[in-house]
Amino acid sequence: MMLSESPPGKKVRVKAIHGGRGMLMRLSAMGIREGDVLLVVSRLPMGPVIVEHAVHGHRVIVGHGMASRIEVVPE
Amino acid sequence: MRIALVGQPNSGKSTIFNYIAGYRVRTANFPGVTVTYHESDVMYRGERITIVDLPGIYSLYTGDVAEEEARRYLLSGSVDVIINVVDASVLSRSLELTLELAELRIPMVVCLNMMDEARRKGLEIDVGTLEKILGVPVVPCIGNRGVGIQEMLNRVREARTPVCIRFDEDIERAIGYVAERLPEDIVMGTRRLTAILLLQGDRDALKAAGDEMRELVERAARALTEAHGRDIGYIISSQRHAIAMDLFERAVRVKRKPSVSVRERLDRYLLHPVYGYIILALTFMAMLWVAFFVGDLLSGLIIGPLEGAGEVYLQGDDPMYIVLRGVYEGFIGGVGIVIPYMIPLLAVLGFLEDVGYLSRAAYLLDRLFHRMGLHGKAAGPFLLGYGCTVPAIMATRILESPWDRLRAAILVPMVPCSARSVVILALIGGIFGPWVAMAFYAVNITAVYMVGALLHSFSKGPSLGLVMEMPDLKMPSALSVAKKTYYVVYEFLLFAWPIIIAGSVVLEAMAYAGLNDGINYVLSPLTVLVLGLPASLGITIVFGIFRKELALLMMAAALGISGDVASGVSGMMSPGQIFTFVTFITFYIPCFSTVVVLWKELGRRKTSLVVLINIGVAIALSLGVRLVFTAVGLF
Repeated sequence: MMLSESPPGKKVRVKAIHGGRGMLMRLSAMGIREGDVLLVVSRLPMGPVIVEHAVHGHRVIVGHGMASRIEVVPE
Repeated sequence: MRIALVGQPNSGKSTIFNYIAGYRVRTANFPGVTVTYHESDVMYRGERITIVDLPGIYSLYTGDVAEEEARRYLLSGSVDVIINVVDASVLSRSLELTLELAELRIPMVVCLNMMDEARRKGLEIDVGTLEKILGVPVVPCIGNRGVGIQEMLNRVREARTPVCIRFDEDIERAIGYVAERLPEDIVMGTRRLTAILLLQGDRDALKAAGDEMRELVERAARALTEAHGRDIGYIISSQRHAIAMDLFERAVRVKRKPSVSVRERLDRYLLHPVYGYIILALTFMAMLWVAFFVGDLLSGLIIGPLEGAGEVYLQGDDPMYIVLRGVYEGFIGGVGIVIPYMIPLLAVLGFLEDVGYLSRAAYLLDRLFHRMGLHGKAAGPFLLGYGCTVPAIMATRILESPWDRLRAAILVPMVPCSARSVVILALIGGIFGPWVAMAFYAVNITAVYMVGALLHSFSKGPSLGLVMEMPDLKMPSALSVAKKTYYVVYEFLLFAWPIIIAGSVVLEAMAYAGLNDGINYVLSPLTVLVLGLPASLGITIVFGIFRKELALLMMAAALGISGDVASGVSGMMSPGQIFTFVTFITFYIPCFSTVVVLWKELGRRKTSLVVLINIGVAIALSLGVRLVFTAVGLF
């Protein structure tokens, strides 16, 4: 399942980030890495996703394009 | 002594800078790029200190322009002490930057900002443990209330070079191997730091290194990448992350999970797929209200009397009077933008930003902007554009990619600012009624959207897309909003005012020399042939460049209308002509102040491009309007 399809209110674990170095580093700078647990806070259809980091507690808006390249599994 | 404030975006760094800084703030550009930073000199205990507010960065290494520039600045050797501003409520994530900064080997103080937020989240931070592990002073602060800032400044003299972390053994070996073989002249900061930068594939470092060195580094990086099964840059940052987490666990106790707060409940409405948009629309309307009514009120109170005084005291045909009148008109032109439009709008936008609403608007509008090849962060500049184009252009600074920024700079001037709305409301609204005026706005939005989509189809690949932090909602400090507004206005006046005054002198001289008929003649191919308008409107278009709201007055003068402009115009021009004229006025060259700001922000070439595209779009659209009205027999 991709982050862009994850239902709001559910916790997911980042399984893999399918992207180049730029995307990997940008997400990791925002505190999102493979293996991290995220709470899907809110989502717009075909739009961005808001996630809350389970450990750091900060929230990040991830655009649809990037969210559809982040593979997650339900936690 | 030079102190640099370094921290992640939303760490409250600027709030702290605003608290310390005096009123004389310099805004500086890094050479060749649009990233700016602020500087201010302050006296502290008889010593002159320069405080530098570097742009907010998440890391030193991800290749973002702001990050590269900040790092270059820190490595330039001019910084004596780093104050690392950290949002204590997201300490685990923020510590990674602290560990990166440690590698610069510059004496440091850590400012644990937003301690109240951290406490609210149930984080109990053991400051003593943090100090011991990092080896630098750590000072708890609450920046927006000024708590702890004095103490932080007191402890600057105790600043120490922080303890450096160690990576896995094989990575350390590679770092040591590269560091030993570095030629002296390419060392940036320290040998160790340069080696890390090279292994991470940093552009600056690789450019400085010679071919031989590059090959050596690439071999080492490839071996590490193979051993770890992942890009070595990512591995290094992951290990730093793990060390930061470990540090966090040793120094912090998480007491309780916070209950659902009022703010989170508020967020459910703000981000709701239906209510969210309703609230956004209301916020937008409130902004327009500020632009129209407060702006109009202030304009009437201040600009009206100033103009009146000019008319009384500066009449005369003597060349001296021409110059004086030009200078005075330009002076009023500057005041007339700054006081009624820039200050109220920038204050509202600064407030929305500090509250945290802008990032929520970005979330809601991301999809819409995507079709124009932009993303949600462009929401701020476009919203501002309805008030005044000048601050809107300045606000495009938040877009990271230069290409995104150029596209926004092309589209933002097509959004009718309040001065152009005066023309739209007076002519379309006044003659055809408010609903038709509303429809005109709808058509304008569609047109901007279509031009955006068209520009997007020329673009080179998709931008990376939106990733931004969404800060918690909070009550902003009035001081911070006021100072933020002040800096932008100050910067604008310093740069643009002299140019507006000079332009206005030229305009007066042209009228004096009797060039108006000539201008009408030169412009007649456009006004008469293409647009089908009276030739006498040519001069209004030229004056409209200077100040768009003048176009209305000039139009009345040019057509010889006295009294109510709307009824006068409807007697002299057909509905088709009126719509054609208003469409052209709305879209053509951004006003003079906008051009000046574009020039400053984007340079000459891009400014010419923006102006040309705007004129092209204006001609195409107004010609389209003319043809539509001709087809239905109303021209």
